[in-house]
Amino acid sequence: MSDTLQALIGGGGRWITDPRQLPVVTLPEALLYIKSGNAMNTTCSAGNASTFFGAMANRGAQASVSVADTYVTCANLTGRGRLYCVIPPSYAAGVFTPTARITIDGTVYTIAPSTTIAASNRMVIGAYTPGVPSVNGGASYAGSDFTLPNSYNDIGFNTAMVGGFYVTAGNIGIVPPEVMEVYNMPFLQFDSSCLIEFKTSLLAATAGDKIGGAVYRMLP
Amino acid sequence: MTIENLTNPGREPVDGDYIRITYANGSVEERHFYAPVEPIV
Repeated sequence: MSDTLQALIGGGGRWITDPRQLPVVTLPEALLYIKSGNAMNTTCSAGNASTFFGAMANRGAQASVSVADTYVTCANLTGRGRLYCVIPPSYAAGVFTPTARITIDGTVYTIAPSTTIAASNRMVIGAYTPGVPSVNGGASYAGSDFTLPNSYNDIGFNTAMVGGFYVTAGNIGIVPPEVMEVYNMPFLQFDSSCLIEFKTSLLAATAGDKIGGAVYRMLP
Repeated sequence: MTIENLTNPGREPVDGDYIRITYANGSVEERHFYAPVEPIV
């Protein structure tokens, strides 16, 4: 069966098994959104990070770094499952380097920009939607209903790569696992184990910036 | 599904405790416990 046909019918070749093949973007944390409930849209800025990662952990886990340049375990999974998103912590007082170390079925992968990223930025590993997620039905839309590429709130080709990763100055939203699966967005599948760790080169002063998280689910 | 508190064995987990969840099919999930955030509807 061809790869094209496999992709079209949703089977076989669509699984990612190497986390380095997941989409990666860096952006100001104040532009990174999570939607929790129809009326709640929260950014990842330091003051909101506890709420942001609290919601994210409803479908995964969160953890906080406590020592500079030292990994913490976000989740240690044994069995078959899927990994959708990893967001390491941030740092506000200057440029820094976030790093995610993801061990899939015994193979260790390290994902980090090759140069520092801007203060109060986040590295988002995994698929997302462009624009601010819509909240509240009826006439009081808080953002765009159209979050497809090149939609109104998609910032497009606005900045150069930094450290090998795409940087956006536009809003983005992370997506619940089942929605990602329905819309055929890329995610990773592991067969026996997944260890998610992250660190930052410098330790943030605020609790919110020290928090990172991951979205995953175990398969039956 | 069973939940073990690895930080404070035998106690109900509180935010930040490291827990181990064992599922019926044998899968194991270890992570920090945080009380679920209720959505605003």
